[in-house]
Amino acid sequence: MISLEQAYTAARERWQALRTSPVPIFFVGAATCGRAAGAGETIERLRAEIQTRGLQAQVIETGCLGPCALEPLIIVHKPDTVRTCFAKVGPGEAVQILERHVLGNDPCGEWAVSRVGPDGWDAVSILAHEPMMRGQVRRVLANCGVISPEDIDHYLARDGYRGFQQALSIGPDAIVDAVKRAGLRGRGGAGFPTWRKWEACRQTPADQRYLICNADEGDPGAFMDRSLIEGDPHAVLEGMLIAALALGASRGFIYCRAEYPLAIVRLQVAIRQAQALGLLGDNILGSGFSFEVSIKKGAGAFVCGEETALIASIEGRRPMPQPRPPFPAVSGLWGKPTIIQNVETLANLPLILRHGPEWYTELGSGTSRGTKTFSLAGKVKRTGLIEVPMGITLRQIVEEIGGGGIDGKAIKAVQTGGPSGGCIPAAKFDLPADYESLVAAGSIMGSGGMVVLDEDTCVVDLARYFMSFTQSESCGKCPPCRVGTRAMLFLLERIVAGKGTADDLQRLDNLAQTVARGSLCGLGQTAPNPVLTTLRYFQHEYEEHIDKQQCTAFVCRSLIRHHIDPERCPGCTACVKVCPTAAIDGVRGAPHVINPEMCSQCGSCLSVCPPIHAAVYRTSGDLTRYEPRSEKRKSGAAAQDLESAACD
Amino acid sequence: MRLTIDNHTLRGCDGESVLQCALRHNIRVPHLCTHPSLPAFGACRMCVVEIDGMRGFPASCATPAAEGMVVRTDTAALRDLRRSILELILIEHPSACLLCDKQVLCEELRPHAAKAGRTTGCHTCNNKDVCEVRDLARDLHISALPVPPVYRDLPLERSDPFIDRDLNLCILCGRCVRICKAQHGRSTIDFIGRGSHTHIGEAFGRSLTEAGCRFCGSCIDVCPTGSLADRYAKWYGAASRFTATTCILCDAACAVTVHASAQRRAVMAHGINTRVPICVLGRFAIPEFLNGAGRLKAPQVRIGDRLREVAWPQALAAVAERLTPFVGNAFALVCDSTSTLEDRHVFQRFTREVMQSPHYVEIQPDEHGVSRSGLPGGVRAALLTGDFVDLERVQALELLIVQDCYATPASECATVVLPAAVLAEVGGTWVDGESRMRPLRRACDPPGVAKPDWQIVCELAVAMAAAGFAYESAAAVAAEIGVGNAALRIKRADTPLAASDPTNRRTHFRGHCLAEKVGGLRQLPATASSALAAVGG
Amino acid sequence: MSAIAAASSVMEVLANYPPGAENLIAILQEVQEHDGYLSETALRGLAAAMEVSENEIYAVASFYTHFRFRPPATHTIHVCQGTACHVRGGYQILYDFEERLGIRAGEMTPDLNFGLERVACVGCCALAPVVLVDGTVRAGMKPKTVRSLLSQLGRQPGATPA
Repeated sequence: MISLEQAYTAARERWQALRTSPVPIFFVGAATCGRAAGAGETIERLRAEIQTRGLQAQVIETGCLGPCALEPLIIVHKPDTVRTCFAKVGPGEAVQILERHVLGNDPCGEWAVSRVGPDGWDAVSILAHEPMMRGQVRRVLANCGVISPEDIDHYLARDGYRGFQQALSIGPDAIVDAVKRAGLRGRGGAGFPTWRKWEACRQTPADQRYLICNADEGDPGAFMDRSLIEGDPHAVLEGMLIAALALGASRGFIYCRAEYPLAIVRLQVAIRQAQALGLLGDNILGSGFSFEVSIKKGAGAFVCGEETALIASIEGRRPMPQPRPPFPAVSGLWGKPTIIQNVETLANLPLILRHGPEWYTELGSGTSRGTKTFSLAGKVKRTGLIEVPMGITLRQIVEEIGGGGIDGKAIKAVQTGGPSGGCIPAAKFDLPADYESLVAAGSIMGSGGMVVLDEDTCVVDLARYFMSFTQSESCGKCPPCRVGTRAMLFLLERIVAGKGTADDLQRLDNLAQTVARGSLCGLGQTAPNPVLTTLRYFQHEYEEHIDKQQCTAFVCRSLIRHHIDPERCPGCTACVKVCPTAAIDGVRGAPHVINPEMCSQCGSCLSVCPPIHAAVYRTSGDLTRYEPRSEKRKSGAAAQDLESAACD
Repeated sequence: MRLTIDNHTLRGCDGESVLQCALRHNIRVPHLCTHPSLPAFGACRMCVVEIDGMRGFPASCATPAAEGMVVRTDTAALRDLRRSILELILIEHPSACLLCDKQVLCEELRPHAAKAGRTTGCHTCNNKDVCEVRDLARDLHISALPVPPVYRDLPLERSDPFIDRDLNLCILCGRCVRICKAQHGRSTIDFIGRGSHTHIGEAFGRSLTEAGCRFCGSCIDVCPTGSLADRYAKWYGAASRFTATTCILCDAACAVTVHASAQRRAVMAHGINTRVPICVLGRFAIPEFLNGAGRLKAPQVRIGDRLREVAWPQALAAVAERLTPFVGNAFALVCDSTSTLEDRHVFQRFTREVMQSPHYVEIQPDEHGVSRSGLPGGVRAALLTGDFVDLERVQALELLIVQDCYATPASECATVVLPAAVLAEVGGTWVDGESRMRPLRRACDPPGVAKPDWQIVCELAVAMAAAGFAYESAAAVAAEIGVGNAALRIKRADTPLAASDPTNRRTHFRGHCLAEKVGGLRQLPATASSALAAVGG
Repeated sequence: MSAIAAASSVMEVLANYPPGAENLIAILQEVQEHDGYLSETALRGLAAAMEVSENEIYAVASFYTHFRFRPPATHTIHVCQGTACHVRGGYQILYDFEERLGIRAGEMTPDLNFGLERVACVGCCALAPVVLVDGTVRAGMKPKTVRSLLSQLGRQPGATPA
């Protein structure tokens, strides 16, 4: 086994060689989102081309760089040229870039994430100046998209595990002090001060303590932890080492949801690599500190994100939460003091130890110090993984970084905190994104899922959606959650179906109070939040559904009727062919008619009617909505627009 | 330690919860999923309280009492919250009767539930008289539900012996699962599924028998609703009498409580110690055995070629008259150790002193409870307290008196048949498998004019003009023997073999095949002996 | 799945783990990967080898959405129900699959060729709406792609749901 210092030297040399490589390198963002966009095929094609042409070139898979909507993203290192980032690179595009840019001199402006200005080529090497990247400060995500997550040398070369070495030299008490001065708060949702959570564990005498990394990331709409693990798994391991050292824990577990198979593989590789270098195992680096990590897979239960349920799951029992006290920090896994920490919280630790708490607190606002990663998704132009200093406003996130709404739609609200959080309306977008402000507005920071809603999102339907999620994920142990969420869902479904009554809103509110106060665990206690915030800020939408049978966003199927405007319809039969209930009467050349009794309001006709006709229109309550006409003959053929980077 | 609950300063014990402390001091805090013999579970959320310094509404069952704690159990907010939570529970539980505005009148006219195939409300629920949910609903003044109730429409489980299950009444308190795990280690039933689809059941929807249930009945004993019911007892409502006595169906001698109806018939029995289960026999066999239609109710004397019912004096006179010629070695009395010490003392005295015979035969049943014996040579008259002797030998007797609880092939050829009271119908003292004395206490009446064994033989002795048989009671006999201080076997270290595995159960009692008298036993997996019998071994 | 095959696969899987309930989920996942589902025979074998009853194993397994107790369909489609997928029309995609296959989520077509399931969130929210086809992520789904996907997998158009 080589010594760690030797490993560092070798790593730095390799990294430097990579930076000044005389052969071209294709860094391909190949995390799960990249692969979903087709990065896997791109990689295969590149490798095949390199082989057939007998080229000297490398393809390196990296994690997620952030702008997921632009994937597959590749960064091309061409010797003696500045590095260029290309977006939406499928296999065909990759070959073009290889031929024209790497082998030739063509900037390939159609895919390069840069402006090809009148003065010619002014490619951007990393995306730092792009609108999406400009407002971000990528500290925790610094390595994602830049290094190969399966090569520990890349991590070492960029000062990986230096934070842990610092931690070893200052000892547990000083580690806790540093974390306290940095003001690190749990990034999993509630924002509890990390040092204080650790103290309860440290002060409980025990022969064994456990550290668990919660990588269950159950919030639908959140993928920060996945991206971090897939892009930079060693950051998580290093964070665990630091925490374990501070706590006196010799055994660690990473509980990762089974829906993240690539993340699990990356972790397994990283653990083996760390073990090989003596960074995991007995008597690490001769310090006397021992730490073993193993991976536990989830099996599809959101409630396993709750601490006592997670512990039960690891113990092989039904993951039904337990009342607290006793708190896990005092009596947790197998009765021993246990600390459960979110992935991002842990990934902050190497930075705090490496750069010091003063550096760490340079960013942030009030008691929310440092940065926060967010999964920006939904009805916004630039979706993806971002990291911003806490305290920047929601407006800055949604409009400057996210690029605002798509297709010219007005943004209505942003949903943070997943099923435990709430909707914050656009009028409040000047709120800073910090723990206290979001709570005051009725939501929570949550783990980082941030879903943008626009005028075409029905918040009543969204509340129903969240309640349906909570109902299906409720463990069933306590009546307030098991039955209470079901009762709330019943009322919401009634409202969405146009059968709501005048007292339903009061009933919803009463039930929300019971569920919030009576539930055993955080899942139930926070389950009413989406309903409560939408009632608070969008009561008029609920009232429209109830009083006018109207869904202003045109989402709630029972409140929508589809019609065909005979003055617009040329009789092309496109809709007749796709109607699943054969509800459209029509012969070629004559305007078609929808039979309202057969129509299931599925919307297929709307989606296929060519925009040049836009003959299908909808009514709901008092409103009528036509689709805009355009020159397009086929629906869905959106022009390539990198600036808008719409996924449509 | 001292803590304050509702402005009362109380002493708390180490390790107890706030709920336990409150209940100990007769402060009423609603609770459903808690049970004294189980650790706290925290599911029902009814026991919520307010505690200074703790956020929200902690569950008092799961919060350890601590020095200086300030607790409030009865604020308006708590009452509202508990009512709302119970309303939610009642959404998924047939609750029509609890919400009906005709309740008061209905209760006057029909205080007891009507027997029905399916429970749709308290009026058709076997648990009505003893239901914890019903009690809570009235305490909290439930009058309406926030949304329409849902009937889960789960199938009624009736295919197992002894236990009826209606999962539509289940409130998922988990007591049954927890007690099964606590008492047996590996549980037969468990929570299946998740969320609103959760139900209590077995792997792959098997029946209890297929899933290895021991039929100890502990789950029924702890169920707060009518969901789990003792099929035999379920419609009897609340018992009138509870008597602690000993089960003598095997020599484990478990202490049981026998419930008796207002008519003083045995209705149900269950173990007293809730940490260790009792076996299927102790739990389910006693009432059915005692109340069987075939019980001997009146004395019978053979007149002509038929047995005819007669009154006691006549029967005893007939026995006295016919026994007298056989005084001496030609007489034998055969009994087994299911008889009490009092019985056996009187039997011995009768045999030796009145019949002047040495032939007192007391059989120790084998491990299956089978009692068999031969008769000493030269015996021509016998008094048998059970079907213990081969029929051929019995038929060869010149005089046969049978004193038993059920007719048998032996009693069919007897000259006189005397009806005996057994099990929970008698008081006395008994010896268990470890030679300890255990008390039997009378919990119910025998059928017809049947009497305890010792009493019959005493009256017989008197009819034969013997002296010294005028005991006033079983206690008087016990005093003569010098036994006293029999204690119920409540504390047990180990689970009786038959309780952890019903194939270890006894098959016979006092010469009777239990499975013939208690039909449910035939549905259980065969015992070792019956398995052998089945293959002709 | 023959009883012998199921029992031996359980033994193979168990050999990789130390005894104890700690690894129950991992063991069940491996058994399901191997056999396609959790059979009665497999659970019986596990219960015998571990210190828990079959009922307790079933109780744990039935809590999680991932575990199946019946053999799976030839093709399984998981439609993501995450928030981002929902606001970008995921509910429409699910509805389309349900209409075209003639089954509800959680069911299989009578010919056992297609199974339709919901999945909570696969973490590809930026590319919503997303479905998994036999485990592979397909992003940016639209109603038209539902049709073409199903015909690629061999579903005849207009096949009558039996």
